[in-house]
Order: sequence, then structure tokens, then C-alpha cells
Amino acid sequence: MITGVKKRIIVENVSKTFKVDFKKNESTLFQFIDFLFRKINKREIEVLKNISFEVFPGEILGIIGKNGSGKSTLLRLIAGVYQADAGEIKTNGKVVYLTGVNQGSSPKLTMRENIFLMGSVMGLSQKDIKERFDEIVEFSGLRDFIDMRVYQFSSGMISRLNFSIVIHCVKHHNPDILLLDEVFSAGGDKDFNKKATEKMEELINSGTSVILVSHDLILIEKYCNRVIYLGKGDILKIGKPEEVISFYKEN
Amino acid sequence: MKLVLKYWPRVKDILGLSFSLAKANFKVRNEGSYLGIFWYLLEPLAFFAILLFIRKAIWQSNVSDYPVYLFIGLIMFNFFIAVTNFSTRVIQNNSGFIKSLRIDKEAFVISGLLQFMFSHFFEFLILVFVAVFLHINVLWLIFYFFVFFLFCLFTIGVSFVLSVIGVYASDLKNVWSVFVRLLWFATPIFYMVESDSLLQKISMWNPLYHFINITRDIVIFHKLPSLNTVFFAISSSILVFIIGLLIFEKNKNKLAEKI
Repeated sequence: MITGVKKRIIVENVSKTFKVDFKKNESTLFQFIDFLFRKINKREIEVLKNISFEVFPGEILGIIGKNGSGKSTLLRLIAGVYQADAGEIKTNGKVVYLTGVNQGSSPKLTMRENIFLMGSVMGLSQKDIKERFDEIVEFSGLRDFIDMRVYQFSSGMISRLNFSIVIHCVKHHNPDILLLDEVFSAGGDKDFNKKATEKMEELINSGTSVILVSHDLILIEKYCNRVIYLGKGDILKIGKPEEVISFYKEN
Repeated sequence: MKLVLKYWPRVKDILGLSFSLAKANFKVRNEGSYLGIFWYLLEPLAFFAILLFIRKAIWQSNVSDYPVYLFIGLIMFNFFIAVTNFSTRVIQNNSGFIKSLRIDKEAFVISGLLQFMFSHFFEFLILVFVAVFLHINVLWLIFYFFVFFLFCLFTIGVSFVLSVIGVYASDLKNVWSVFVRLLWFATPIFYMVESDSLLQKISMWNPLYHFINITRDIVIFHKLPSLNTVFFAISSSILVFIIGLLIFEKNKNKLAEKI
């Protein structure tokens, strides 16, 4: 046992099963009878089977795999959104989990109101948001639209706004562990994406432990120290980025 | 005391988040409406007027200050309906946040309470006006805040339970709205109960009746409630609050994967 290095994340023999109910293609009458006799079609899907790995401080771990291989579920388990059925997950330090940056804003509210709403949902107090407010607006480059309702924004503008809010909120938390689920691209124009990528790099290179889930293999190879290839709930391969990615491409 | 100090920062965070959510919800609700927040005055007033008219047209009132009697029952019950109905779907409606963030889910339920507290404040203002108009001593209304505090505890306890059940069965929304309608007629809001009638015996088991009745006694008759009633109100609200909170805490970690 190496005791000198404190591990940031320890995942030990974690399993997760979802009960999924299926709708059979049948008439309303039969559905009703099924319901009365409690014949609800449930199937169990084992999303993760006995997963174990560790993440060290400052390490950037990539997770790749096909759709439905359990990547997002694994992140949600580490983030504490889901609970594991078996096994144990230990985290040391502050965890921030990011997914779907392009959702979350309320179209009927103005940009200013959205910044306050999303900021408080992400755990900032009103005072903190006020302090960060100018920074967020400046970064998004949408100062002229600050009191416009978001439903009148173009989709690029919404992406820029959401990305700016999220990235600054994360920065405020100064997390020890950062879980990123397909959030690298900002969805703005070329200039903004460049700025966004720089900001992301700054964030993941600031010494936090990062788990990066992405289908973008170039991205994974560029940033990660280690990569896990997940398939049907198992770790198929873990190791150096080049090796795992070439193994992934072969399959 | 130690326990309170230990949990206080978390409670403060939850309340802060609830407040922001309530504020945003409140703005969204009034968006695109011409009269905006005036509806919070107009809606209860219109309903109040309808009931007063029916009362005048159909049967003669034998209670002095009937309008105040009616209005107190109306606004307190309205508050209960609004908050509990809101809570039956609140977890699903915020599934985006709940699935993608580790967030204190209590805040979503509490935000409903805060949001409707705000509209309740408008209704309270009308109550003050009605009372002044009928020459009722307004100072007694101060006691309402104590009753309302207990009433909130009771309401939020019920809401916690409803929000959990609502995740597992979306039928709850329909069932609950029928149930509260039944409860509306079963609670003496626009009518009075005679003592020793069947209705009164039923009402004794209806916590809403007690909260409304205490308020009426204080505001209209300037009569402080008996110790028994006070004890019942305090214990039932605290009990319901604790039970509701415990049920919510026990289930909250499973909610994210059900929506």
C-alpha cells in the first residue's frame, strides 16, 4: 500500500442496476388487465458491474465507450446524484459535476435573472453572484442583451450564456474533483470556442482531479493521463491514452 | 443547541436556494400577463365576491362579520391548496437540475411554500382592508403570524410527502386535486358547523379546520384559543412537519433515478 499519496476518488466494486419497465404493444384493455393483476413488465439492466479504479490528485482521467456503456451513470454515482447498489465510492474534497451545459436556463427570464437563478442552483449565494456578475457578462460578450428575455436569444447566444455562467460558478467553487460529461465544446462561434477552450484548459490544469467523459478521442488523447474504456458496464481496458484509444478503435 | 448549530449552515443554504427558486418561479408565472401581480389581489377578491353573492342570494347569514369569516377561511385554504398542488409535480418539473447537479432537493419543495407565501401576503392585505372596513380591531391580526407559522410547518410537511409520492405515481396530481376539492367542501369555509352535528365531529379531525378556526376566533371575536386547541395546533403541525421531513430525507437519494 502506498500511503504517501492521498487518493481523490476511490471506486471499489461498484455495481448499479436499473429496473426498467417496458410498455408492451397491446390494447388499452389488456394494459388495464395487466395493471389490475400487477403484471408490470420489469426488466433489470445491469449498467455497471463491479467497477474499481482510483483517481489521484491532479490526474486527468478519461472515460470512453459506446452509448449506453455506463459512462454517465458512473459519473452520477461519483457525484452522488445516484446511489450505488453495491460497492463503495469515496471522494476527498469538493466535487463539482457538469453535464449538458446547454440546458438549465429559463427562456422566460431575462439574462440577468438567469444568471442569478443558475448561479444559486449551482450553489452560490446572492452575494457571490453579484461579485461574479460582471465577469460572467464580460466573458459571454452579451452585455447589450443583459435585460432581454432568453427565449429571444439565438441558440449560439444561449450556449455562450450558459457556458459563461457554468464555468464561472465552477471556478468560484474551486473544486478538488471535477466531473465533466461531454461539456468541452461551448457551442458558440470560433472566437468564443477558442476562449472557452482556454478557460476549460485553465480549469482542468489547475491541479484538480478531473474525470472527462467524451466521444471526442482527440480531446481525450490531448488532455488525459489515463483512460478507461468502458463497455457494457465493465472496464475493458485501462491505461495510457494511446493504447486504450487504439484498442477502442480496433473494436 | 449543538444540533442546531451543526445543521444551521446547511439550512441557510437550502433557504437561500429556495428563495432564489421562488423568486424565479414567481417572475416566470407573471411573465406575459398584462395585470401581472394584480391578479394576486383580483383572483381572491373575485372568488370572495362570488361567494358573498351566493350567500346573500341563497341563505341569510346569522354571523356578524361574515365577510371576514369567509375570507379568512378562503385565503388560508387557498394557500394550502396552492402549495400542496405545486408540490405534487415539483420534483419532475425540475428533473433537469436534479439529474445533473448534486443539489438539496428540499429547496424545490420549500420554494413552493415561499412563492405562495408571497401571494398570500397580498391576500392578507385585502383581509386587513376588509377588517378595517367592517370596524374590526386590526391589532388582533398580529396573532395571525403565529398561527400562520404553524400552518406553514403543517403545509410543508404534507408537501414533502406529496413530492415524494408524486415521483412514483404521477396520478397523484389528479387524485390530490380531487381530494382537496372534497376537503374544501368538508371544511367549514363558507358555512358554519353546528355543535354536536356530524360535520363538527368530522371537522374535529381536520387540522385545517383548527388552524382556520383559531384565526377566526382571534380576529373576529378577539378570543384567544383554549389551551387544548393551541396544544393540538402546535403538536399536529410539528408532528406533520417532522414526519414529512423524515419521509423526504429517507427517499430523496432515490428520486434522481426515477425521473
